[in-house]
Amino acid sequence: MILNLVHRAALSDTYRFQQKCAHDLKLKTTVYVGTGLLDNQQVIDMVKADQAEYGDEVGIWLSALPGMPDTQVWLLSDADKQKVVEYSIDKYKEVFGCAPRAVSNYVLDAQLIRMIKEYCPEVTICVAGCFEEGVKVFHGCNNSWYLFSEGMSWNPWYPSKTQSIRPAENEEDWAGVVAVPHLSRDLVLGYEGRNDFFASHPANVQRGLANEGMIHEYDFNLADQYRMQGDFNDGFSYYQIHVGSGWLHHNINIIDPDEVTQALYLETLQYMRKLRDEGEVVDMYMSEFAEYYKKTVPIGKADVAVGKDILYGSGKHYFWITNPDYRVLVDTFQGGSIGDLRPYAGKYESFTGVDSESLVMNSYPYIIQSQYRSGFKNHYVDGSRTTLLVEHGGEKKDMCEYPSKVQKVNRVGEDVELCLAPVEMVFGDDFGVKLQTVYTFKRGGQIIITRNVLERTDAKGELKLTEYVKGCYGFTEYPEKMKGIRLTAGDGESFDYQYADRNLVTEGGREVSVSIPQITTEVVLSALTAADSTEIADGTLFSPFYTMKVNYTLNDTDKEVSTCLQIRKMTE
Amino acid sequence: MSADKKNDGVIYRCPACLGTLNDVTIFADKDGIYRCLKCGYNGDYENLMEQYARFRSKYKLMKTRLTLEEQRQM
Repeated sequence: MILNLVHRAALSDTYRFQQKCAHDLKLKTTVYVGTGLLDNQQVIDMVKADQAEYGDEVGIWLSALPGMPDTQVWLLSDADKQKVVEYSIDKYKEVFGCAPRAVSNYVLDAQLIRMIKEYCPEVTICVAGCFEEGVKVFHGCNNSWYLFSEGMSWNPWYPSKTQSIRPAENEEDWAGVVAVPHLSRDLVLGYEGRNDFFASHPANVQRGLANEGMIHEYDFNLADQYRMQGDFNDGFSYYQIHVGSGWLHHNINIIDPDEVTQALYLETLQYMRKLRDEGEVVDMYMSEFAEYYKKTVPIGKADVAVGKDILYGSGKHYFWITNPDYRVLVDTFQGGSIGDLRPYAGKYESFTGVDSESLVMNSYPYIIQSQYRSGFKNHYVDGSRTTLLVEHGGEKKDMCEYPSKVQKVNRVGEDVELCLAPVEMVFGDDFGVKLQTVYTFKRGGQIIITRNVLERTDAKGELKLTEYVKGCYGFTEYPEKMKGIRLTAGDGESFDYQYADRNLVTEGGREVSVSIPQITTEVVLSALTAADSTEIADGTLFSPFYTMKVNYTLNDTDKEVSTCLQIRKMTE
Repeated sequence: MSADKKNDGVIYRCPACLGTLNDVTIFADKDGIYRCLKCGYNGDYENLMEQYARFRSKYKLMKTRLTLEEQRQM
């Protein structure tokens, strides 16, 4: 596993404590100097002394200049962003006598990355987003933390030119720097909970009360969760420890004494050193990592993660995949349904700041988000999700109620194949069926969903399967305006979304599609094996979704049905 | 901002708000009762600690070391 250890320079004892920990352990450390400290001689002397003695890499943590609104750098006006970039880089060159390689903040939108790269081509790496930080963290901070960065990778990525958290499709689409997330966040709780509680940041874990004094097994378990990702990514895994010094002294979100907080930080770094001694971790400076990443991971390669619950003991597995066409989360506990889907192939464009239509929003829009948008039915009808409906003798079962697990992940060329553990269903007349779901994630925006019928108690027993996709689009938990969306059956008949609860059934059909102009995305569901019919429906204001179905009836020799969910850029 | 003296300057958060995953700082009044500005929670130091313990009880693996190999087998 590659480790990036990052500190942010400050005139505080806790910053010195952090540096001492890193230097005593001889861990390669990247130090960010904030824009506002680049003219602080005391800070610069301290940073230079560490650089000379220990070899720290020094980068820039961008922030607003005096006289600018007191806000985050990615929310400034176009002109102010440019001023910050130019001042920071000029000042860095003046102070350190060379160009910076690493320039960062919690979020860098597409516009900021372009400005940085144009003004200083030597920059190769940026911290540029926070995996799944958005709605839940906003709520958790008394609705006052305006950082929306959902829909990105948990791992490093090549940012596109038109939306910074969308992975670039190719060299031409690439903004020219390697981007890394701020911290490594829990691959289960990043989706289910507040991801800022559960990250490679011991003080954040304390914020979530996931330690008890000096008992903090979670900090080590999370590092090992990320080490495990090498199993699915040709050996590549990445971890970033990046704790601001303010977290280690009298922080208002930590109920442990400072001695405990600081000891947990030290012990976490000691674990990294132990892993390095064992040959399990390679510590790198940020720019060193950028060069390694460019040599090791080609643009367009799918990134895969398997998240297993390491805190609650639920036994849950989640599966994540990103490629330039989509990011998908498979919720195995809900029968292998898709719980989150970001349609990158639509190439939705946005940047942030007061001159942007998007304002604060740097999240990439979803078309399925089962945590925010209902998912499986709880108190009213269901919301955005996928599932398989299984019907026999007039009785219908929903795959979401049959927990599964990740059984196997295979890479076959550019494709990634996910096999889930089989599930068994028994109907009222004792008819039983054993089903296995296999996903094949392909480049070109295709997600192939295959349902294998492994066993039937009665081969002649009636068996009907419906591949079901209920979608919407959005950025937060609130619905967006659905008017303008066009729903089309395969025979060409189509209608506009009118919240009219209309359902169009096409006997003999094999394909339905939805065009969402708001996010320049088209979603197509098509049968790859012989189907009976298709259905496509809009919703109502109380259930603002669209529903796509492909219906199959299996004869006694049929062993599988296969369906393609295609994501593509909307054509006019 | 005052800090609680019982635990070396540590600042606490309302346990009821924390249960909704919201961070709201909470301070004791002159009678030693912690009262939340954003919800109706009120309780003494002992109750505060009990509530934190209850919050943590959902983390069934909090004290369990899960090595890489053990996670692979999970």
